Amino acid sequence: MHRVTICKIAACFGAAALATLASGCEAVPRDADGWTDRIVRTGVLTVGTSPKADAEPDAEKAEMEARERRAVEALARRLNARVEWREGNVHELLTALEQRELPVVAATVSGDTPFQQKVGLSQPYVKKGPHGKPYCIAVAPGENRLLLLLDQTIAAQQREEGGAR
Amino acid sequence: MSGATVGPPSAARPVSPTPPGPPDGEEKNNGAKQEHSGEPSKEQLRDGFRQMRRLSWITLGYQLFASALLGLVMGGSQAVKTEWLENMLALVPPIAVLLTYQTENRPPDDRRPFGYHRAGTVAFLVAAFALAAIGLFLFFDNGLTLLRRERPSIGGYTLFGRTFWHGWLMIAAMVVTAIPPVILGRMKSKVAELLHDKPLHADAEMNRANWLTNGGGVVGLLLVAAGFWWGDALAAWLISFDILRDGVTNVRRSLSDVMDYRPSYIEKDEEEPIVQSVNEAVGGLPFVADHRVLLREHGRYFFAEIFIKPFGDETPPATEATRRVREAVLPLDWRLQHVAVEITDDLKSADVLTREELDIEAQDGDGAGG
Repeated sequence: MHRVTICKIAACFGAAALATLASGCEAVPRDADGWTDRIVRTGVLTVGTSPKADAEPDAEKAEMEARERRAVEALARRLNARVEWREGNVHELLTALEQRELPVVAATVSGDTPFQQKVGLSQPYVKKGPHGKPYCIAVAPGENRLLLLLDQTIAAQQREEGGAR
Repeated sequence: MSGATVGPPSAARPVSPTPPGPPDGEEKNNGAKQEHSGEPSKEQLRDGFRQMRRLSWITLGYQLFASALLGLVMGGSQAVKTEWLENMLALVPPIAVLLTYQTENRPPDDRRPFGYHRAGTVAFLVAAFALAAIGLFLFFDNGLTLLRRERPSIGGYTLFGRTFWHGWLMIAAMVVTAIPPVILGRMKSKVAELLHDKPLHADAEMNRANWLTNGGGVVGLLLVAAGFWWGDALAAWLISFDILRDGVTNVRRSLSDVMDYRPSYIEKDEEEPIVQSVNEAVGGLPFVADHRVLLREHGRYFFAEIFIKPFGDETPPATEATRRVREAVLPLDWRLQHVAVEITDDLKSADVLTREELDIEAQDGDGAGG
């Protein structure tokens, strides 16, 4: 391609980006779909979760789920919202998340989930859980503000609770 | 063949770049000599080769650093991932340059009577194909990401107890890695021109365009920050287009050597003046009635095959005529490494045997008919 043309395209591109940034500097990064704003507006954070039907209680798992729950609730507090849990099958929930039908899925999703390219994964709230895997909370793809807020919440939680695990 | 082919088939002059000596058999080639004024001195060439190696090693080190840095921060950004790949691929041209330098002046042997000048070309060609293939793959892959409207998820990055947007880190890495290659590229361009080094020139060109892809990536990430998910995919797509373009350009450039193109400038597809000056020098010799010169590129060097039809009455002996041709031609350019002279009464012997002459089609027709 002609060098000058490339320069022109780059310049236009840059100007557009700067203009949009200047108009919305207070909340960068912004969500592609605006889920954070919606949560703040409605006061409801919908979170997908899968019901636990374990016959024998597993202390490690229970502790992990409690940690996940606390992270979600802390995020809701930060957004002045209440958590509305939506129970379902993990695969269906993640598919719904991929379609951006709900903002967050907290269903002990491991870091190597097949959905890792399709949805956003938070920093692990448990770095080494069952099977030695990290466990994350999933966020609708492209909702980068929400993901950043969640990551900050988890990081704060790790500091408070000692995130050595 | 009717004439005497004289002149060793292997490198005809000392293989290290030697500056032209004063043409002692000076005939009427003065004009041609002066016309080709850009002939570098021995010192310039020595410096050039030294610089070429130094710059290539610096490039290697730099590209390793840049790849490591981008690999560390790439996260969920398609643009940064593609830029990381581009930096990894940028390791290839300097390796080709250094490989060429190591091998090109090895003495010819029985199996490789023309020497090793093209060893680097082979490496360059293979690398160029790989570059083009990866570029093509990325071009489609990133195009699909755009079409499928896949949104990049870029979250937080925790450093020294603070969690900030990972995108800022990516942008910083893209900015840091944008400028050094441009400077390196500019320096390499000059050396490549001096040494007629195609891989080095391709490398310089890739480097010089680097800021564009980095800039594109930064703008893409800024768009993502502003909530426009397509910024990242579009930037990644443009970067992969750049990789593809580099690949295709490099394939074309390396093919010019493999296909025995006439010597041309490395920075543009125009004939080098050496073609004209060799023709003039040979045509200017008093015993030459007619001539035909075939010049081709062989790595950074030029190889010439010269066919001469002498005047019947004043032809010197073949050895003497050959010596005078070589003396007239070799000083014209340091890159002219090999000259084969054939004295013939039929210039058509320079033609290759065509299939038409074999009458294959006619005979096939006969066979079918019978």
